[in-house]
Amino acid sequence: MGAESVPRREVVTGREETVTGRPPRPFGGTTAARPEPSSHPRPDPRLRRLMRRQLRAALIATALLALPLGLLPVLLRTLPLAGAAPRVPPAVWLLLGVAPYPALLAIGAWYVRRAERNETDTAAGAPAERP
Amino acid sequence: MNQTYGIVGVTAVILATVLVGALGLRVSRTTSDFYVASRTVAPHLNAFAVSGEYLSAASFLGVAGLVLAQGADMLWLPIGYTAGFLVLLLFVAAPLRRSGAYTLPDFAEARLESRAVRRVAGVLVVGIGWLYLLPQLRGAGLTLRLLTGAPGWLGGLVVAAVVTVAVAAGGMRSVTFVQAFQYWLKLTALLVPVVFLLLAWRADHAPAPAWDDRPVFHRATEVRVDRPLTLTVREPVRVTVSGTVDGRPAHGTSLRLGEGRHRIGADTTVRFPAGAHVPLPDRAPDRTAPSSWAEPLSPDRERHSLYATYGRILATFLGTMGLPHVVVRFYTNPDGRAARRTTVSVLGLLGAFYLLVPLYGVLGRLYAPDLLLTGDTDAAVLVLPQRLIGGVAGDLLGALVAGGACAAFLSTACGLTMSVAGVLGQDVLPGLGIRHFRLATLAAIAVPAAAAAVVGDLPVADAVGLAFAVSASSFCPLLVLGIWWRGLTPPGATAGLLLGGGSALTAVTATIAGGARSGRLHTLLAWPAVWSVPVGFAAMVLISLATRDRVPPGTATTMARLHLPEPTPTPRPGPATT
Repeated sequence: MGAESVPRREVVTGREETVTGRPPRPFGGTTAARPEPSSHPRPDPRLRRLMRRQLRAALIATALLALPLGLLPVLLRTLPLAGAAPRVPPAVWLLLGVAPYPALLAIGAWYVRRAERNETDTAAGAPAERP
Repeated sequence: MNQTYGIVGVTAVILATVLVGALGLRVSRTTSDFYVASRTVAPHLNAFAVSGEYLSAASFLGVAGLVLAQGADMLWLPIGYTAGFLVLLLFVAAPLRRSGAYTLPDFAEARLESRAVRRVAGVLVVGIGWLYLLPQLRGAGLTLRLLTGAPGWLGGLVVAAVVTVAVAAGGMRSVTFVQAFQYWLKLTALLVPVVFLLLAWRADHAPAPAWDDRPVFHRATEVRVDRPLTLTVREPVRVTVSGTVDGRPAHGTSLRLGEGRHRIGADTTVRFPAGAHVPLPDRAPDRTAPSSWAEPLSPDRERHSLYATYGRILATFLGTMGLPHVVVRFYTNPDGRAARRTTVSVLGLLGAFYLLVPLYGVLGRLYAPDLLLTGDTDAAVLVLPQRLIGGVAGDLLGALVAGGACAAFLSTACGLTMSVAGVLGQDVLPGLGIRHFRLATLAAIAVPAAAAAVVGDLPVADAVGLAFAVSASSFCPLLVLGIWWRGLTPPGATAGLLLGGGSALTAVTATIAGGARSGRLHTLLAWPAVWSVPVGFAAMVLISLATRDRVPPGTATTMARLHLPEPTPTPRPGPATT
């Protein structure tokens, strides 16, 4: 299990007394102190692998988002569909007003599944199944 | 519009906001409660709250207004407003939550271990927050002006007061409940009327609007002009006038408006016949704001509109992640996975809302083209029920829409004030706890309220776009590079924030101040994201590479904290915590 060596996540607030630059504790001080940064001296190869996989998933999803949507303005301008014609055909309205939203949701759902699987895999064969 | 119904609608929303906020106050005790609701907000409630907070006056009123004026091109705005959350999900959501920071400056300091970067980020948060608050308060002024006839600045002031009370009293916990409640209110306020509007439109034989630069009155329409106005009439038209036209008083008399310019006096009612072309307002040379935004496509606009479209896309796609009121909500998630799930739900909730908005724009083009004449295109959503349905039903639906609009600017203004006050309270005023937070709340809302009273008319959806552009050119590089690139150094981050964010902020300020009103320069300044985002990224990467020895010593630890899943804090079956 790769997570036990990770410092506990702490609340970070801006307080004047920070000298080391380390995030200080919150006003309420309800949480435990954070371990020293030196507890993690070198980049963990497992972390590198996880980051690479997460980044790949994010970039694939970005491509799915950016390619169709990024080309659409040019396409609409080049095809004689929209332009400044007085009547905007219904296809344009559907393409811009309806179609993007299910697509965005689908890309998001795909990415979350992929990202969670990456994290689970990284946790060294200890699958943390969620209901 | 029947004023009583509208006032009742708005009052109900304000009362409900204060009430739900007060309920939250009873449970918010410690500072941690106050800022992030002690991080016990479930993903679904949090998703409602994020959506409720995000759907601002720009989404509720502005998009429909711009669609009315400029057509299908404006649908890029809601697409971008939603897609911004997808980009946020992909690159930022879980790591940002795992960083454990409250605000963007907190993230900057935690990641880069530098007070200087923190301070620059703080200034930018305040700047973006104020830019975003400005159109909210203007939307408030517009809504209350239509409902009550009160001057625009008064509406902004009322909303500012309600926000101050709600935020200073309850903090984030109460805001969470308020926001979640307001998402559903806003969705209902668009969904119910649109059903009736579509039925009325069908009963009217479902006419299709034209999107050229010469809109037509589909029905005989009475236009009330509050402020003096100069129009250009291109085809002679016979109208009925009460008030003054070209300096001559008229009392319900029939006049022929010949081709050319006509001056309409204040408080004049002009009745146009069905089928007449809508005369368009002349752009007065002394106007303080680039009012060309609310005009239909002109040849000049058309030439630059592809650039403007990409400017909008880039700003909204990349800017969402850096909006202070959006980011602060991610700290209320219990862990990184919950942050992701929240964001996916938000994508669905926003999509449902934005499916409705264009319908109002299209119907507005048909039944309220006179808004182009008076320049109040942002009012399209508000006036449609009365125009299309009329009677008591129209009044009731109008009140519902007005209440929804009120929820829109209230919720966003609450969230923004909250986060701007948080940054002011922690970084500008010495951090002494809740008392200072309340003081900071006053400062956070007072400045944009004053500015809203001074600055001229900007269509709210495009004014919001300016805040997105600044955010996209400063915080997007900081977050993306900070989370995914070990090589980021404090000098690099500072340079990127200053050059990217600073140049966008300058361009945007020049636009608001009305520096360049048309032509290529105006286009470049009004949609700066196309050039300022690359500037921000390039500055961060190049300066970081040049100062490689300044990579923060704790980078490896921070990266592990950002990317590795949390050890499961709650007892959960399974061998996850060995």
